[in-house]
Amino acid sequence: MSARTGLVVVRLLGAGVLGVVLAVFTPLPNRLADYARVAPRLDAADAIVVLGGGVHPDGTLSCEALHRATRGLVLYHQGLAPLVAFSGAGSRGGPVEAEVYSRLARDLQIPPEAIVTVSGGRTTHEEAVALAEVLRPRRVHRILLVTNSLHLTRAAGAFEKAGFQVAPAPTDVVPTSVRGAQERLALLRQVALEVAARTFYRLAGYL
Amino acid sequence: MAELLVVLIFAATSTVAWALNVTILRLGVPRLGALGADVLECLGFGVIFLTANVGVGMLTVFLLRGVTSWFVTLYVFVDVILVPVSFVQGVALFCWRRQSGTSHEVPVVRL
Repeated sequence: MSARTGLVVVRLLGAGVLGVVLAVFTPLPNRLADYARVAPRLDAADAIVVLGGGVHPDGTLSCEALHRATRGLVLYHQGLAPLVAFSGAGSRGGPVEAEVYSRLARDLQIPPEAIVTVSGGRTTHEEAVALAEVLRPRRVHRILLVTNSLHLTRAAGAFEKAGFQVAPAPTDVVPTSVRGAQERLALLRQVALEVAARTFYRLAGYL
Repeated sequence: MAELLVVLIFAATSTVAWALNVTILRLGVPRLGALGADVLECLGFGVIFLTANVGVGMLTVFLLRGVTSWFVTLYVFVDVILVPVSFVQGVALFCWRRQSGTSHEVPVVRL
């Protein structure tokens, strides 16, 4: 490639950046997010599976995790499954997310025998594998999978690959109706990250 | 409509900056096409650095996961901070090329 061609490529990349900047002033990110998200299908299941969303070193759940926990607990109280499985690993010496979830569930009157915690998964793929090892012996086949609506396509694929029948139960923390440029940029970033992650999962054979 | 206001503010501050540069700082009037090409070049270098930072970062994560027992999340390399840092690298490369004469100067018209 000659220097001149290289410079043209560099300028085209720059034009791409300007394109992204202009796009956040339009509803394009909202349309993309609408296309990428998964709609809920809330049927009765053998278990509700709440995926890890992050826990801070002081033991408090991240906003994302709190939304997921709340969604899972509401579904349990609606009687959609007799079991709630909480997934989430811990960092070195830090709190284990699944245990933080579990404490919250017990505080909210979920009976201990209805709670399962699995802390072996640090990625969505690892969570699917770890939960399969724990839930399959309990004859859990059909699950209500709780995570955000953009993450759900990849997560559902990983759990189906692990042998589950998945009914999506998205939280509503990805507001696709946002209007400001900053929020649209954040939405576009989330969509781009999820598309990249799905591509990686396909290439790695996790889906 | 609020977004349109933001765009109008950008246009207004750019116009004021252009006017101040020409009248007070007595800078020449640049050819817009060449100026735009320079801006795109700067941004393009930023994209290249961003791609390189994310790519090398992810490879490093996979290497660390494979060779050691240390689990590093990939989310470290999708942090928003990578964007401004990468674009600073891009601007630095652009300035370097300009100083070493490998990039063209924007032609100007002296008033």
